[in-house]
Amino acid sequence: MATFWFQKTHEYIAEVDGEYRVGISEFAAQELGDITFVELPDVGATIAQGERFGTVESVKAVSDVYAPVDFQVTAVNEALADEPEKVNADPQGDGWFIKAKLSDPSQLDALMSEADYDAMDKEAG
Amino acid sequence: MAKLIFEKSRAGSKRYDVADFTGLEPESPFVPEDIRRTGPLPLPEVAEVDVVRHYTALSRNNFGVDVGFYPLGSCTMKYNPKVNEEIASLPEWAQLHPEQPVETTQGALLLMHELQYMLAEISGMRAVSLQPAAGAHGELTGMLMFRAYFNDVGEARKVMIVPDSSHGTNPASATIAGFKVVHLESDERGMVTVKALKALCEKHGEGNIGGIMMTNPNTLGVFEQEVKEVAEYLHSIGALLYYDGANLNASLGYVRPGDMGFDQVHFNLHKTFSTPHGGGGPGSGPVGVCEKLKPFLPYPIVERTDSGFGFHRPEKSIGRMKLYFGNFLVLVKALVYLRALGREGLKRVAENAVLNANYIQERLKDAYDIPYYQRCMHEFVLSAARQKKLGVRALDIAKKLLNDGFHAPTIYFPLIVPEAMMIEPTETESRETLDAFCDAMLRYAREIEEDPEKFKELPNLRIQHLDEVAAARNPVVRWVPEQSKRE
Amino acid sequence: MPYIPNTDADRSEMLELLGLKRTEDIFDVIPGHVRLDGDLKLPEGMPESELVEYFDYLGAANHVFPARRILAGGGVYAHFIPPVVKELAHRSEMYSSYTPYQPEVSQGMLQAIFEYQSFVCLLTGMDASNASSYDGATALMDAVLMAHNITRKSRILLPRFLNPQFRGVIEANNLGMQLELMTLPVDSKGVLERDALSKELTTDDVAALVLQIPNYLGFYEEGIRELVKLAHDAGALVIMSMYPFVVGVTCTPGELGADIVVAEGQPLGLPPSYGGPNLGCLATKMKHIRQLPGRIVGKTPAAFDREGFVMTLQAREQHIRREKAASNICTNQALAALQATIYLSVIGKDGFHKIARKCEENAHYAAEQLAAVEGLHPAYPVRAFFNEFAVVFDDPARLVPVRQTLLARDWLAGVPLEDSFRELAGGMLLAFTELQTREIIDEFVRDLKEALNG
Repeated sequence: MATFWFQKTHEYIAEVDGEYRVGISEFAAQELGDITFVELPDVGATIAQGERFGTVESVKAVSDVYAPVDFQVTAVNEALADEPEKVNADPQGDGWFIKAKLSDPSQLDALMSEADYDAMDKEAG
Repeated sequence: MAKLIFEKSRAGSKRYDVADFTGLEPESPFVPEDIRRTGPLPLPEVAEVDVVRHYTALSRNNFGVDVGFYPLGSCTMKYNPKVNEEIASLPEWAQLHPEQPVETTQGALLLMHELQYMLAEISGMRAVSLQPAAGAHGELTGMLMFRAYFNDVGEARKVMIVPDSSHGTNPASATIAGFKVVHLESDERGMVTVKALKALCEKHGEGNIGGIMMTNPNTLGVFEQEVKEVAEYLHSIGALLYYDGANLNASLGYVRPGDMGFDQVHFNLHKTFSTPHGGGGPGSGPVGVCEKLKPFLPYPIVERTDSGFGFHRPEKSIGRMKLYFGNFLVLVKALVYLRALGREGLKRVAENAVLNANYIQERLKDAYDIPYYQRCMHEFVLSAARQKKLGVRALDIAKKLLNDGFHAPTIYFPLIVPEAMMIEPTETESRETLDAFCDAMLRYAREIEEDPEKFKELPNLRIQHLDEVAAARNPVVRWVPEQSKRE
Repeated sequence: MPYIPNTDADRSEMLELLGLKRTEDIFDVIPGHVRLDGDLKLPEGMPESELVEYFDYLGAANHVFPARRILAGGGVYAHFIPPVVKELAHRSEMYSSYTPYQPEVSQGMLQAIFEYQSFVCLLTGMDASNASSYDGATALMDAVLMAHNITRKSRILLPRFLNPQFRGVIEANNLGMQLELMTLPVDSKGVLERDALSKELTTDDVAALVLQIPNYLGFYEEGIRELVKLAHDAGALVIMSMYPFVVGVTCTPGELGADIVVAEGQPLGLPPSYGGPNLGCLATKMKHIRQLPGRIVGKTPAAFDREGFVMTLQAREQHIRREKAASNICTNQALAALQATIYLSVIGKDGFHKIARKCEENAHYAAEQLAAVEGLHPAYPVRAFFNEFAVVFDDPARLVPVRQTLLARDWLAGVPLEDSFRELAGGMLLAFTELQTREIIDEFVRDLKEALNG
């Protein structure tokens, strides 16, 4: 069972079996359309909250992805290199971007819960 | 897809003779062994007649202005006069070597000098450099010159303002020249206002503002009403104004960027001055500047001296932007065009370009939404938002035009108009052509209401629905020879 | 009025629809205080017959050297261009088209660019080429920026004998990029100093080592493979700038270990054109394709089980990425790329290798003959060179008058070197192509001797 937190720019962080995963929300994946490429950081990189840690490309758009909290990258989803469509198919599952070690889990408290994110007026953002 | 030239290769079918080629072994004795080539590159071997048929076939599978109406907004796809091509291909121009001493190229220098003068006069600028190779290259030149100017006066201004309707090259050029780009929102008429501009400048600190990059008329085809006031305000806070010349066709002989208050402009010779777009280049993007930016121009500039024409390096020049003197043969074509039209001809160009655009807008205004409806200049932007509600996007309408023998307008630009279709007919089209286009667009509007799904059928297009997603996910960008495939 | 088809009758009907009377009323939305007062100070227009005459008159003030008597290069070379190249490249369906944003009606140009990219990959030994850049100098600048973006490092090592115009373009653009440009010194024999390179590479902030094959003075840097290894070991990329024909006799830059390759493509079927338009070739390895600036064409499936071509990976480009784009490039040099593609198809495998060998052979023959001429000497001890080499007049003051005398005998002899390389006062760079015969070279050597003695 996974717990999700979201931020306004549509990235999520999920706790799955004691691990933290970061990716983009179902809404974001749908908005981008067919995703063609995901650029991810190196394993071991330290990323500060709000910092860009990758990009997602579709045919006609490109978006940066931003860290919801401070973290260190412990693994990247290698499968996305050959199958970026996984992000469209299952963004909050198989289409995760990176696994992370959090330096300050209390930062999660400031993020949105799944329910709050669902209720957010996304079009305006 | 037609076969590639590589796939038409047949060993031994093409011999190429080089004069005085006797007794040379294929392997060079002059190259150090560790970097010497030991077998030939897998280049194609195709008989000349088959090469001719191959590229003739490709050309017949390509749409150009010489094939049909090409109302591509912001691109000024006017007719390319054949006399330009004829003159520019003469050996007197095409065979000149750039390392020739200037005593042997006085005709070329005179030509460039004349073009420098004419472009300066048309834009109301003080000096012109012909060096940049394209519009975006002109922008980059301009931004580097702004940077050099601010360095020279000891100011570290970092912010470049770009209206939200601008060309994508504007923010990219400013960024590469080391500016931070901030976007300025247009008002409900699609225009820049001093009020919004001032608020933005104050937010970022007036002393940090390097300047603004604008087109006028802007990308909506609308003439900026407050342009003079914008210039006065920006000059009062020490900032500079850059004019993107993409839309200069609209105002030739009627308004000059210099008189509006701009400090620097670039010209797109391949738009305004009829040189071919060439399927994406070579273009040419000369820049013109006001007096205070003159010392920073890239070199060389052509100047008249006592002993004829010569090249000159401005005292604080930013340096060199490309090889030699610019896309010289394009300069030749542009000057032929300017000489053909002359003073009055240029005014007729602007008048007819603007009249043609307004005529189409007027004919289409009821069938489609025109979010910023008003008198337009050389182009206007309509929205297919109404049609999208019925399931037909701007993209589908564009493809239908292709299906019916027209080129499509620019679509999904500017970004501030949903389902945008940007239409620029140019002055070289007849009313008959405009009517045929308008009739088609009006018919489409009806057909979309009647049967949107049927509308999307494209019976005349041999190639359609190209899979852009697959192309980007798994890029195939070259032919691979058999031998490397096996490796 | 030329090129404007509408008649007065057309215009008045169109104006009527707009509720206007006179054509100039169409401009009444332009505020009066910015409108031009009076007329532009420009000449009257000309009919075509006069145009042709006028430009003939201007052209007559130029001197056109016979191509085989042009012994100057420095980036632009006089090779022979088979007439079929111009004939095909001038088909107006191609030159009157815009960038192929609508692939359904642009398959011709798209396929030609795909073939161009394939040719560039073959010559450079790379996997991916863009659809072309402005010229060899701006392509090198783009490659430098690319290396900076890939490595996120900021030091660029340039060889001493880099084409000075290439260097100039990098320096001008660096006003914005703010990279640290270092020039690697050469020893008294013209060899890149290995120790200096090793020292530069001890810091781990080098983005790229730039090498030119052959270098500006026409010769191959010594131990290229070792230089590449040193750079790679230090985590730097290697950018090579090549003369397109050199790979007719050498390994490709890819085989030598380059990561990014650029070339000035003018020798591939473009006339000298007083230095423009040129053709910038820029290619890299597949893993860097997303950092490659400019347009790229890809092959892809289409409806009805067909295949076609599209512009791809557009998310890299400025019209989508705007201020975050890796480059501001918008146009390419498609027509020049088409010309090069047709040229390479026409000369084919046989022609390409013969031309390369003949260029080299001519230069070496000329160097041998000049070695026997008193009053000049090679700039550096002769070493492996391709089709260009530098000679220096024993008395530097002789350079100008000798070139002048040769000019009068219809030779464009060499590119003077002193402005770019102070140590080469009285030096000039001589270039040869497949156009010379031994007879021509002998005649040149005779004329040069006479000029020296005169």
